[in-house]
Parts: sequence; C-alpha cells; structure tokens
Amino acid sequence: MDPSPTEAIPAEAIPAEQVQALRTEVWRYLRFLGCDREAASDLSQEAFAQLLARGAAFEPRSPRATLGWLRAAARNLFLASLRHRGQALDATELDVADAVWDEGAGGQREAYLAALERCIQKLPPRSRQILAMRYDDGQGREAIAAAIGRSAEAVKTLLRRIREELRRCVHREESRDVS
Amino acid sequence: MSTQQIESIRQKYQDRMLELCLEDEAVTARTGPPAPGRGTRLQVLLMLAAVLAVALLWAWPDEASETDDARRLPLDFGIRDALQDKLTPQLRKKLDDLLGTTFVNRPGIDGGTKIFIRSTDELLALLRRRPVGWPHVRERLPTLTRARACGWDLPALITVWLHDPINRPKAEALLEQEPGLLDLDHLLFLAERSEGKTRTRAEAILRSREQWKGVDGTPIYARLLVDLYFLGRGDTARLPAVRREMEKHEQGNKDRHGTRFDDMFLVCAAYLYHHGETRPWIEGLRRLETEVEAQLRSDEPAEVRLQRAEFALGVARALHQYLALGRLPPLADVLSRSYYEWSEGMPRLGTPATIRATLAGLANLPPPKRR
Repeated sequence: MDPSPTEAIPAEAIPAEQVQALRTEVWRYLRFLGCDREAASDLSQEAFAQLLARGAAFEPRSPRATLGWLRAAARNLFLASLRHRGQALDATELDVADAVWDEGAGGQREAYLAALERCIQKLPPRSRQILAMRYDDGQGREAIAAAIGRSAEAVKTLLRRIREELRRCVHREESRDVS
Repeated sequence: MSTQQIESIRQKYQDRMLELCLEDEAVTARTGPPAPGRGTRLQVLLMLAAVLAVALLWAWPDEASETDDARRLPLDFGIRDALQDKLTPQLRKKLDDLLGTTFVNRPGIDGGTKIFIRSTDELLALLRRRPVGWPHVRERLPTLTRARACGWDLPALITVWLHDPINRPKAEALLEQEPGLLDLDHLLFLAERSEGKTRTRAEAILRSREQWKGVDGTPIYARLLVDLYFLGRGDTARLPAVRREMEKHEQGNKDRHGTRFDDMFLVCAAYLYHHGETRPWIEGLRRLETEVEAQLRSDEPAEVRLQRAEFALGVARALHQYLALGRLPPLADVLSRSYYEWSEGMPRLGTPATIRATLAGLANLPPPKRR
C-alpha cells in the first residue's frame, strides 16, 4: 500500500477534527511499530508533510483511505529511519505486526478498549493496584516494589503476568463479541 | 519462518499493543490525548507542516523589519508540543501568548506554513530559565545539511547552537570547515567562551576580516567591536581606535537606531573604564540620565513610563555589575540577547524615585584598573 504519487491534498481539504484524529492514529501506529514518543511525533508530522506536498488536486475520498495513505507513508518513513541507523525489520515481522494492528486496537480500537476495560475489572484487586501504579501513576518498578514490599524483579514478573492475563482475556472477550 | 516463530512475533506485537493502550489510556486520563494534536483548527492545520521560526537574537523586540525577517530560525513545530507538556501552566501560557500573538504566516518549506516569532530573546530566555524545556529543543535542532537543504536561516541556527553546550561543537567545527558561515557575533562568542585552538582560530578570523556584516550592518561599528574585543584581551594599541569611535558618538549624539541614547556608548565606556579612563563612563551616565528622565516624563501611562525607564537602565545596570566585580562584560552577551534579557532579569525598581537613586548609584564603582 505505497502512497500514490498522483494524490494531492490541500490542507484545508481535510476537516480539522479529522486531521487531529488521523494524526493521533498515525502516531499510535508508529509507537506500535517501535518508535519512542519523540520519533513517533516527528515521523507522523513528516507523513503529513508528504501528504501536503502532493499538491492541490486531491479530493479526499474517505478518512479510512487517507489513513491508509498516511499509514503507508509513516511505515516507509519508519523503515527508512531504521535503515539510517543500520537496523532493519524483517518483512514477515512487519506483515504480522500489521495484521495484529488491523485485528486489534488499530482497526477496532473502541471494541478493544472496552474489552480491555472489562478484563481489568476482572483482575484481583492487588493486580489492579499494581497496574494503576504503573500506568495511571507512571511509577517505575523500583517505586512500585517499595510500595508493595517486593523486589523490583518480582514487580517485573508480576507486570508481565498481568499483561499476559489481560492479553488472553481480551482475546477471549473479542472472540465472544464476534460470535 | 516457522509457525512457532510467527506466533512468537504475533505475541510480541499483541503485548506491545496492550501496553500502548494501557499507557495511552492512563495518559488520556491525566493530561488529555497522547498525540500532539491539540488546539484550534488553525493550530492543527499549521501543525501539519508547520515549522516554528525563531527570530535571531539581535533585534529590539518591537522593531520587526524586513531585515529581522531575513534572520529568523525555523524550528520543528513539535518543540511546542514537547514544551507544552513540560512547562508550568504559567510558562506555558507565556509561550502560548508568544506563539499565538506574534506569528505571521507565509509559505513554508513543506508547502505548509511557517510561524515567525518576533521575540527570540524572550523565547530563548524562557528556555534557559526552564532547563527542562531546553533538551527538547536541542534534540530537535537540525544538522547543517538538513537546515541548508530546507533553506533555513543558518546564522540563526548557529547562534542557537552556540547557546547550547551540547550543540556548540558543531559551531566550533565550522571554524575550520566553513568559516564563512560565522558572523561577527558567532566569532566573538567562540573567542570569549573557548580556549586553546578554538579561541586562536576565532581570533585569527576576527583579525582577518576587514569588512563585517551582521549585527547592525555597518562595517565601522563591527570594527569597533573587534577593537573592543582585543582591548578586553589586553591589546592597549586598540585604545585610540575605541576613543575615536566614542568621540563620534559624543559629537553625533545619535545611536544606530537614530534615538537619543546609545547603549553602545556605555559599553565602550565600560571597556575604557576597565583600562583606567573614568570620564566616558561618567559622561555615559549623564546621557543615560537624560534618556531616563525623558522616559519618566513622557505622556505614556505611568506603568509604561516606568517600564521604559527601567529598560533604558538595564544595560547600564548589567555593565555596572561587571565593573563592580572588576570584570569586563562579554561582548557576545552584549551582541546577542543580553540587552533584553539583562533588563528582563533585573529586579524591578518600581518608582521614579528608586529609578533615579539606582541611576545615581551607578557612578559608585571601585577605582578602575590601570593597565
């Protein structure tokens, strides 16, 4: 899905709120591929710059089509940045990543988040507490370890197990929704 | 790739997806959407391809002109987003005000829009006072190659490099690679703040150029600064040249902006004071008094009058601090941001009486060093 060189979009052609949503989505996709926050911000901006550079003859077809274009541009930019650092991503891995993105939060984000929320509620109170400390409060492993009286290594293991449990649960929830 | 390997990759990305969702939702709960796409329609459109431009340091903030416009530095708009998340609400508002009220639009390098800030002094001073914001800026400073390819203002970029120790080696490397890119103020900065080979090289270039561009654009004024620099380094053979320039100021009684008082007159006087001559400093203060009185008695509202009088005093107060310590003010500071920042950084005096008393106190200095 390489960006077509014939498409062109004037900035005013896309409603502002749509631009914001698209940019957030591209930013998330780049984070998913492995960018840190700053790089995702830079590359998403770069992807939009490429889109704008196409000219003024484009008629936006749908947000989905525009997102597809931007996603492809962002992916190419990400791969180029990897090459620049002497790194690479296996083509199969990229395909698998894209499939996961399409299946999960990328394509059905609201449903995914709803399932995730239900799964979090099913966790034991202590697991929810650790999860909140890590992700709501942004605390590091050391701080969490000190708060709950465990070692940092134990916290790492606990968090990994909680995420595994959540991943399995979300998968079950989504399967149930589909059926 | 085996099925098992593919499944392993799938799990890796599922985990990453999960973690990102957990992070993002937490971020959303605390500070709003995670992506940097907040703002009005105008801001959003600008963000698409916006390049944040920062004006070069040498310009009075309220005197924007074509020349000023030619010396502005575009920076990535993401800086604003990075800063927005890091600054206190008060400073964030200040930055918003700065960006929101002082930009002008024009075609940008990405087919989008550049934003030009009128007062770089204020922005850089803001960043320096808030070290937390500066790393986000300096990490995003472009390389020379990229800046050149994008048609950015190289002298302005070099100035920003110089003010950041991490980026300063890039400017130092230009001494050998492309000295033609270095302005007088860059060279003075490098000569004053460096040692060894870098200083030697900067001084050699300072000596070698007969005609200077930059700063106020007049070669004579630039030569005066070179004379002042070497005078500051102990080359007393430069004294007659500095005195001659002072005499021109005394006769003309006009500064380069055509106003009544010239702060450069005081800078020269400070350098002469350091070399044993007190008369120019006293004369400079007399002229400053006239200027300050004119500001205090103007028809402006009281608050504006006080502010302008204090602003006029700013350079003299900063120079006085240096002289009182037996030190010379760095010319690079004088040239770049300092007029504005010095005034900004000074405690407010508040009333005409305290302003006049402070002015009178500036004459109290230890005896100058005889050299």
